[in-house]
Amino acid sequence: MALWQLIAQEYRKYVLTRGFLLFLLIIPVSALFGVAAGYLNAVSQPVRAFTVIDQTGRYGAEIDQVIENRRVRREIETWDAYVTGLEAVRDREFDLPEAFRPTEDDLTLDRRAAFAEAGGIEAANAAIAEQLPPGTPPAEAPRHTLRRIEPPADVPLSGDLAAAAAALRPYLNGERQLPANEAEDASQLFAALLIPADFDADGEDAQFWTTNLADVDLREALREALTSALKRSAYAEQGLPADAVAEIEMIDAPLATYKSDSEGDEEAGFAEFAALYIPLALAYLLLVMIMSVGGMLLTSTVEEKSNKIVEVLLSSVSAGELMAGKLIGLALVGVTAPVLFLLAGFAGLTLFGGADEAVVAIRDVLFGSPLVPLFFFYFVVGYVMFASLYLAVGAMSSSIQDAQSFVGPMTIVLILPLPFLQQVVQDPNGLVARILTWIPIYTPYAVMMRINQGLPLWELLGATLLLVAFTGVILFFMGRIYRNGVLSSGGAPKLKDAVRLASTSA
Amino acid sequence: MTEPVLSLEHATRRYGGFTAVDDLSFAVRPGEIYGFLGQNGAGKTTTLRMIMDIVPPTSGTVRVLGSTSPRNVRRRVGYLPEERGLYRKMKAADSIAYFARLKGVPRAEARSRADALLERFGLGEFRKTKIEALSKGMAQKVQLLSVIAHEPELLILDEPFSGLDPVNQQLLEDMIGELRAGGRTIVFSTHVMEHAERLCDRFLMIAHGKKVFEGTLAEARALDGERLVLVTPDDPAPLRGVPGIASIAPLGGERFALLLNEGADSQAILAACLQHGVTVNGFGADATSLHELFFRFAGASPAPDVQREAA
Repeated sequence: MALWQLIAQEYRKYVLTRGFLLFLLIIPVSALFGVAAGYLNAVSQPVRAFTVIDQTGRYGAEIDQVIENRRVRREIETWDAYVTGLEAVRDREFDLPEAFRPTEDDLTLDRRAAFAEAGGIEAANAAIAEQLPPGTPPAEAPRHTLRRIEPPADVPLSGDLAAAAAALRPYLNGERQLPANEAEDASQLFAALLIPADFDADGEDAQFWTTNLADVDLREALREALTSALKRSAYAEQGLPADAVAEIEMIDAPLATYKSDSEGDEEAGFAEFAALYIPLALAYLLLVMIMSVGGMLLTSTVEEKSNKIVEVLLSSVSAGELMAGKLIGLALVGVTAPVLFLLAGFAGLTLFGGADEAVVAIRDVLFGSPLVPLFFFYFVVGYVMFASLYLAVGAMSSSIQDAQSFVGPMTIVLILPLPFLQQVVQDPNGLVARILTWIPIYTPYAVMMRINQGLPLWELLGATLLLVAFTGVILFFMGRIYRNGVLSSGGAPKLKDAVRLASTSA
Repeated sequence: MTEPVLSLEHATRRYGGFTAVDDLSFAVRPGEIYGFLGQNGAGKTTTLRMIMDIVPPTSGTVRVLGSTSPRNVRRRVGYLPEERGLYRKMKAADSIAYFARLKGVPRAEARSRADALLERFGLGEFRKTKIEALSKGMAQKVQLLSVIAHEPELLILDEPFSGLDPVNQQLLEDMIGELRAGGRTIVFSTHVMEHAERLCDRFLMIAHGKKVFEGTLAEARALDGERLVLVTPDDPAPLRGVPGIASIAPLGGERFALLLNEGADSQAILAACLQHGVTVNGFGADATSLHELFFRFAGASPAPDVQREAA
């Protein structure tokens, strides 16, 4: 009864504050900002007009090809995202020609060619239109922002490049406008590429002129075009035909991943990856939760102690109840934000009709393996172990400053295994993993990550027993320190005092 | 005699090698205001904490409302600790209701009592004010209200007057009187003797964790013996040796206390004053103040802070 009051009090004290509500807002707001920034970027990206003065006369087609490839690539990316999103929301697969079917792999030259050949994004929109309810907005082709134009008439095309550069400068610097019909919607020349007559891998440099050094998009495209042209002529000198080179460059080794200890011989799928990443996510959640809730446990205890509220509380409830109230109440505070975000995500899915699939996926992951409840067991035990440490430190401190001297080392101990976690993931039964398993404060992390990876049963049982026993001992002594500490006054906690308080029964 | 509301039998509490309370026995009767006097560090707070079962006695028995396990009767007892605090971010009415609910008062009842109490003690308009925005006096009142909102039969107040200005001290005295009139038993500790003298039916004085006196003011005075106060600009030394005068103690200024042997004749002593040429500006019987009795019984040297607060 009283315990419930204590839990509710701790919970209200932290959740019904401006700070917490702001914190809840920060994530959706920053996500919105990210989306808005991306959208603004796409919409407002200016058209970049550039010109090429090519005294060799060999590279114009190559440059056009690279620019076009980039455009097609962006178109395919836009299209694939559009289809994948629709399929997730509508929970169905659309019947599409091979060229318009989204792929998970990197874009291949084949796909690019096929997509362009099949008619690009307009044809793709037409192919999907009947399968969508009327009124669904079609995929929009990304704007084409790089445009090659002819050099202005008054720029000398032959002779010394320095003269051409001098003539181009006023256009580049915005002192002269481009002729209206040339530039369409761009009025200023963004950049100019000057290729001297004896340009070669070991000949004279090509020159890229611009006022804007920050936007590297165009420069990289031009570099790619010149490089591939130079490479191709080098291959030709070695006697390799261009077609053969293109074919060789398209080779991509096919590699499928199987999990040897899972049933069936299907390729590793969602469940296998979930089994790998859920424990990892829980381990990080545990860490984050301990770090954030630990601070609240400290301030809450120190406030009650320094305000002497604790004495009034102790005249109504026992120290054990007080401790339990804090541990549980603040644990609820810790999971409030994640649960709210999950609920919001779920509500969003329901709104768009994809909830059923998500529910199935979540249920499969949560109840598909008997090990999942174990993850939560380790999560809870790990939380109790660390949180009681923070409570004890709070009980021994008269102010937050006092508490810091203990919290610093504790935090270091807490995050010490982080650099090793990657090693545990990659080599779940290696030496590092085994050592971490047997150190109780790291057992929850190590076991969560190894349990799906052939952790021997005796190790699991032994380490778990050790962890439970250790947590019990910690809880017992930290409880003593808390009971004895909250009523005493004094400065910063000392290890000596901790030992003395822990060894006093009441 | 009715069963005592609260009694300690040979209660002792040690912290390591230090004995805070040493073999203390006393009993509080129903409906009385019981004063708990002692210097700082005499063991008052530890005794009250033992009564509230916040710290258990090392040996001996504590019996509260008929139970030897004070934990069981916690809900019928209210406790105001010496150093006070409330959650700074909580509103006044919420604070009172919260502490009442911890004592088992149902939610709606706790809320309505909180509002009624604030109204009655002139804080109605501050119901929704956060504690941090209240003045110190108001916050202390809220704290006291949070201790009585569950309508305890026994009220334990540790130094309730410290830190209050004279107006609020008077308010608190009135409140305590009112609570007694409502049938509550009140135990309060203080080192300000004036409050104790005005309010308490009986006293307990402790020094160094030991009981030095328990009883009424009259009983204390009787123990102390009769005395006269003489006001004179002269040195009263010649009066030493006059029959009936046990000792002479300066009271400050021109006042001197003449402690009398039993059956001494005050007229004869006045005559002796005139006879020895001691100018008499004032002369008469005087009830010993609790303040002086305290020093006598507790054998305390007037520590600077005691002197200041008693002044």
